Amino acid sequence: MTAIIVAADSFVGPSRERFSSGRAPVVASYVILAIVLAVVVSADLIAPYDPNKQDLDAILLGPSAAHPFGTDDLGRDLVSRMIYGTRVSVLAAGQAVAIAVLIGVPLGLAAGYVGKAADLVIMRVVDAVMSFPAIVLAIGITATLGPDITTAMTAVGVVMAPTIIRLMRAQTMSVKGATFVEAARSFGARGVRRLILPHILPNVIQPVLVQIAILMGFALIAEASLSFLQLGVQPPTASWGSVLSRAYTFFDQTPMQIFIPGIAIALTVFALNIIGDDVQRRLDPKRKGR
Amino acid sequence: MSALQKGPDEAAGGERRAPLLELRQVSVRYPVGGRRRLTAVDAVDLRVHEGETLGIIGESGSGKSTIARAVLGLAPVSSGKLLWQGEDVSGFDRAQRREFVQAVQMVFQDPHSALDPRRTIAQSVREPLDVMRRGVRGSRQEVAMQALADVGLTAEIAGRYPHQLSGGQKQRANIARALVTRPRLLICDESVAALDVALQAEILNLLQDLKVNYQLTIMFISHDLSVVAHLADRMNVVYLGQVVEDATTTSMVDQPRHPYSEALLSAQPHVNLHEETNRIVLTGDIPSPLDPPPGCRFHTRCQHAIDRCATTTPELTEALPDHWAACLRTEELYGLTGRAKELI
Amino acid sequence: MRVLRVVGTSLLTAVPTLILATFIVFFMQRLIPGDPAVALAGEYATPERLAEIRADLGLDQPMLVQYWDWIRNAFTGNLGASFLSGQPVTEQILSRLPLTLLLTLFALIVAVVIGLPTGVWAAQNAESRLDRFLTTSATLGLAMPNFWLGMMLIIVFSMGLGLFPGPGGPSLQDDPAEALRGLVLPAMALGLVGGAEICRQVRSAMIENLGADYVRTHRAKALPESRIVWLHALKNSSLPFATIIGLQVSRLIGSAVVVEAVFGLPGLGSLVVDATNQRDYAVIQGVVLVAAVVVLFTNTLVDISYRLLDPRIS
Repeated sequence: MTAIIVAADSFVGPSRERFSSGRAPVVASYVILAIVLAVVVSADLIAPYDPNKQDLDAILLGPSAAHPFGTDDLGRDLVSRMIYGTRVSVLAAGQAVAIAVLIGVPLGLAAGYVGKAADLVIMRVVDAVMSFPAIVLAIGITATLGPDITTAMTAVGVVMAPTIIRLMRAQTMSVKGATFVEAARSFGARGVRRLILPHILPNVIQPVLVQIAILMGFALIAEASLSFLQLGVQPPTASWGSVLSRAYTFFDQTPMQIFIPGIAIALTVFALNIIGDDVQRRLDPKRKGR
Repeated sequence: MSALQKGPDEAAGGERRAPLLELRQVSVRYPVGGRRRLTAVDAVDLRVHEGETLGIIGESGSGKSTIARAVLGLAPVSSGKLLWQGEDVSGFDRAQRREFVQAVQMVFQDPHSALDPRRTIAQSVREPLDVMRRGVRGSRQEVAMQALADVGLTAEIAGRYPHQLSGGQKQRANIARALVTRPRLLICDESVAALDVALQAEILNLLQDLKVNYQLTIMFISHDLSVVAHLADRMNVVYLGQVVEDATTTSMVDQPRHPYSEALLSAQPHVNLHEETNRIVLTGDIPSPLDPPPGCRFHTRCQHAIDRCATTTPELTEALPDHWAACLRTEELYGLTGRAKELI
Repeated sequence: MRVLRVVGTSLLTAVPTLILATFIVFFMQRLIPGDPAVALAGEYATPERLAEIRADLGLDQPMLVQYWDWIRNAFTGNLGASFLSGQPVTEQILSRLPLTLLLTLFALIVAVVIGLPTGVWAAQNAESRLDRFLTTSATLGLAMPNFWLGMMLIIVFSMGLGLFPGPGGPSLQDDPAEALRGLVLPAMALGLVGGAEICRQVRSAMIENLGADYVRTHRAKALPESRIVWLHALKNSSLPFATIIGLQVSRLIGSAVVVEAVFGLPGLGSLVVDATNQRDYAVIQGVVLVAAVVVLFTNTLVDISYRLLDPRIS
């Protein structure tokens, strides 16, 4: 009997109280992102201390009025290191994403638009790069070239590029056959300047913008991972990863210091993912007009 | 070439000028994996004369749109020739090529998807001029605005995006875009099929007006016989990539000489005013162009098919003056006048 | 017969990818700044010594010859010797690989056990409060760097509650029981994040299936909802699920490298970290190659099961 009731009930379909409780994380995410960006821009203004200034008389302190987050093993103020670290981490992640986009967008367009041999070659290389665990390949490249944050984030950008290539390719292939593209070709529009830039690119780039938010999150975690392994940011520069790495060395004395960079990373990546989902939901044509 | 297989022209008009556009034995084939090929258009002969409106009629999958796409260079011509005012298009140099592209423009079926969603109407309409670098930038804008006015769209609409326009307005914008280069031949591929009946009439009337004002020759492709009969001077019926009947509209409507055309006409009560006939219902779907039936391609669905139809391929022959049909039994079925006798 | 053909097709697509992947690893070595011989022998080596090293490594040969030698050796299991210790790289990797594979396997089990039911549950209650709670939690889980989560687990379960050993346990060979206990926390750290991802992906695959016509038909026939969800819809989601697992394995191996460093586990991760600090290029190259081979192997398995599961692919 219950089965029938359940079955009958399910015809009503999923309830749509989409905006009742679901908005809170989205709003919070935009706030978090705004705060992070504000810290990136105004790090010099809001940091109470020089992030690299050592004070060996005040090492591994717990939270106090002078040092709300305490000090690290060299007596450096953690609030200041986190503030400057935010800038370093976000810019590093941005660099990786920029490289992924610069590689991924043209190659994805080429694979999708030109097709045939170009597509085959590009997608084979993409498959090959994707057969490496992203972090392992980034570690390999960075370890070979020598530890350095720019090198590390370039490597991360390279290993992220295939995601964008695949996305762009799929999008381009679907737009390529659109009637408006055919119409443009009918009056002689060919090539990059007359067809790809004006007609194809603007119509395929939106999902890439969503992907950028997601990849930004991935790059932040990659920065933290590589810096934790001492492959990324080099001392004395502060970043979320390097602060975490340092804190972990002394975590039996000041375990609370691990929480701060970790929470910063988790909240920022969370916000980026939620915003990515939110933008995607808005762009979804099936949801239009609801 | 036997006398019976001559083109309609030579028989009809004697010393007429070369057609504006002529397709000679044009085939379009697509590779479909392995060694198989899909023949969308099979050795089609077709003529469009300056100033006339040629209707091309066929079911979906008949290859009628592919014919248009082949003319515009959007589909590969695998064999045969495309002649523009008697000259082979494949031999054109850059300048001639440009001239040709300018002279032949197309209005697509779906008014919405034919416009780039991220460009304003004015940008889209002006684009052919930009691509062909015609005149200076300012004058292009003027030409575009004039074309928009000619199709009945205001300057206010020019600044909008496609999704802000109605279906009829979008199709008008598409027509305007096809007109800015001052084409001589306008190809309308199912250009009213996506619109409701009232809008269809509006757009058809607009096309009639534009034909006069812009001195256009029109190639009108449609599955809708009533639309084509209303507009066209001459009609070509296409079935599975081949032209099966070619006649003036009056002759075609009054006395079809091919069972397929007859079936299409019988399904159109509005056109067939002269006589009361039984509706001929075609059974089955159009066969796959991947594996077309041998002999007459229509024999699998033809109520008059005999054994010979499955083995012998019929050629277009003159059944009436300037009225050509590709059926082995034309004379037998229709005699010299009248329609098909009811054969057992 | 079909099985053979399916396996054959899958291998045929995997082999070119593997070859390209080996190219990538090989050319990675070309990225070494400066002269590898100098990097090896030190700046003060005599020219004779440098020439000797170059000849040893085949650096005086054309690039393709070098690649060919390297790949031929690699396929026979010879990945060269550690630049530093002189120990064969293959030997080092083989002694570390079981632990990393075991950790990945445990993490995968944790991830599936967490991700699959929550994903189905969320899909069943799509757009409800419960769904929103689950997806938001999953997004948060996904946002946590798993090595940081590992540290948190150490603080709580090792330092706080003393339930599991902390960093630096014995190796698998020395004390298997204790070593396995030591894998619990790192497997949790990896699996929680993986589970969050699986939850999200299973949810969207299931929502698509629960909206399909056949599900409505089953409902109209008053089939028990639990049967519809767990049997029919889930079975039809098994293709994306196979893809999700394939993707997870690659993710987990990558993350395992970092998590091993946190827990001081003697797996591939700590091997590559040590090699990095000592500029032991042969070892780095070997580990990267082996990681790719493991991922390609799982992808091929996924591909084969995919093709066998889907009756439309033959």
